[in-house]
Amino acid sequence: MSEEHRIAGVTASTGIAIGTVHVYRRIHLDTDFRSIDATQTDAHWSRFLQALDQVEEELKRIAALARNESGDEASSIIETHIQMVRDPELHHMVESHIRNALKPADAAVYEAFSSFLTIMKSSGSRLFEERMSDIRDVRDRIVYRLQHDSTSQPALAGSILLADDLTPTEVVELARQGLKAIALNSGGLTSHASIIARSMSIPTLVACKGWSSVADEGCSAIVDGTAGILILNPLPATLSAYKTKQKGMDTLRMKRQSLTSLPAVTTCGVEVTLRANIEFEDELPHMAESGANGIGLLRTESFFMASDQGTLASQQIFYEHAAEAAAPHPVIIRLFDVGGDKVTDLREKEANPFLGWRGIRILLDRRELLREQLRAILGAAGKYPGQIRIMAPMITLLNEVDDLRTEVARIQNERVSNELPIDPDVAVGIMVEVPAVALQANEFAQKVDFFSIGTNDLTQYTLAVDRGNPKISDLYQHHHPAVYRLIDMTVKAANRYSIPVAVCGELASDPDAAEILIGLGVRDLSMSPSALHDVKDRIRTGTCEEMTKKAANRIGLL
Amino acid sequence: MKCVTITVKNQAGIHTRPAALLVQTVSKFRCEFHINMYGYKINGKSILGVMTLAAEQGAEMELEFDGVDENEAAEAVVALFEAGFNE
Repeated sequence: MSEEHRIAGVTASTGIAIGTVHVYRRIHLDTDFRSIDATQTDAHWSRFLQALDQVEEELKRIAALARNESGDEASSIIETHIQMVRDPELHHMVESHIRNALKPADAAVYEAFSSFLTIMKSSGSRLFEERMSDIRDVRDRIVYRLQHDSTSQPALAGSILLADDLTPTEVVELARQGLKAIALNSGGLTSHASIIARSMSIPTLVACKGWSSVADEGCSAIVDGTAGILILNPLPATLSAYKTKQKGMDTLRMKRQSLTSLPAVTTCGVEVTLRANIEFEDELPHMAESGANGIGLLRTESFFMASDQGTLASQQIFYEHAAEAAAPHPVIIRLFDVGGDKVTDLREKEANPFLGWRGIRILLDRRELLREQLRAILGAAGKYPGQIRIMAPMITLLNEVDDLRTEVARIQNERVSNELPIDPDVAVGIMVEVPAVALQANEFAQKVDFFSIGTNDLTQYTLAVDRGNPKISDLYQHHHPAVYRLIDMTVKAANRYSIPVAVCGELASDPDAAEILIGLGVRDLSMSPSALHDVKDRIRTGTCEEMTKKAANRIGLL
Repeated sequence: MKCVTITVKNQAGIHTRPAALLVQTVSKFRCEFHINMYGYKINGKSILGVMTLAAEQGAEMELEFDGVDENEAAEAVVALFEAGFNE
């Protein structure tokens, strides 16, 4: 009989789930593969061919990106990768490993590449290290595709997923397959995977280390997102205690849901607008359940990252769906905020990606990318006039706003000359996430239509702390008075020049922080839909006077 | 069948980019193409194969073309080697 094990983690998304363990590995490099049955060889061979097509598509997209970014040099390297995918000898070897040696497709690919790598290694030429890493990269892409074919995955419904780390797209894909909870070895609270898990109400733990030696595939497990523990092989008594707890939480959730249609008004009568942060189409239904007044932050990076997207049409459809789901409330679309932790495909590594080429900096360098996105956004705006607003990420300098406005006007004119409908009053606002912008908020307020404060980046740039680095995670303090002071400056400037100001960072989802923000004069908060009820509950029981007092205390300006 | 013996001229040898260029060029032809070098024989339409050769400057190899358009293919490939892969 296996023992009960308790492993502590950090709560990224609350809630309790009881299920069976599925260990998720992005790529299984242990090639101690099982062999397949002779009847399965055709299926494995066609899966291999399908994976090749997918990888080729993916590489072509990266090549196009690289061509824009760093010229022909980088893109020709990727063209070489595409040639490897098409290599006829590789195909022969894989086919022989599958049909004659009865290897599954992923093992066949791995071994075919290994034989090339072995020859290269033995020749000992100085040219090899660089080439070998290219070859490994292509191998891993193909193996990854094979192992992520949904038909090869075990059924995930009702499972508790244990993994090292997950990308946001993986969370969405896995959630679609019905997983109940997640426990990750690595990851941080503000990583995108955590944010998505939260918005989809999937109980999630991060920094949950040590399960790998005790967790068996299929063993029973509990994730207690509220207490921050993973329990493997729970004893019957533990299990029944958790079942009772789960029932209690369901009741609480029902009670919260009764708040959905009520406004977020303080007891002294001040109304606060609560909106949702949304990234994926799958989240749109959750928004209605949360009672949000529209979308305060529509993330668009998934179009940048997903392998089958990026087309103008699919972008515009997403924006239109968002507008429909939010109607009659607005949708604030943030332009591609790639860079830093979000760009995984670009091959050139920057020494300091968070201080590097990202957000509006990329878009103003690569105007076609910006124009393409503006075409999709302004197309949706023409169809849903009055609802769509444009928000620029990572703005640092005043002239970046002018450049952006020029591009918006250009695309609007383009639509007019093509006799397409436009919304002439589309608002153009900025994220306030670089401290310099908060410090120059008066100047920016005269140039933009609205501010939205991105507290995650504002915190990391103000305190000079990388939010993804676990060694200094104690330095990443959302509630630091310096951060609130910058928010205060921004709110005052917005009020002086009568433009709207919102907070759309994770800070807004924390009821304590929400009180302080309201105390500082913020009347518009955007957050993960799952956090909305708790924040609303807090607002409805407080007064503005108390909140102002809390804000003054926190900021140290009593 | 057409055979040509040739020496690698470009300084960096047949590293990734020339290998890609070679495969790209010869793949446009229908004939089979093999390279013999130091007792190895590889399929010249396979980039992984060409890369395993690790042919450095001065290396000598025998190119073997076999098929309907073998003469045209040989001409195109020899031109590439002569031009030092445009490096």
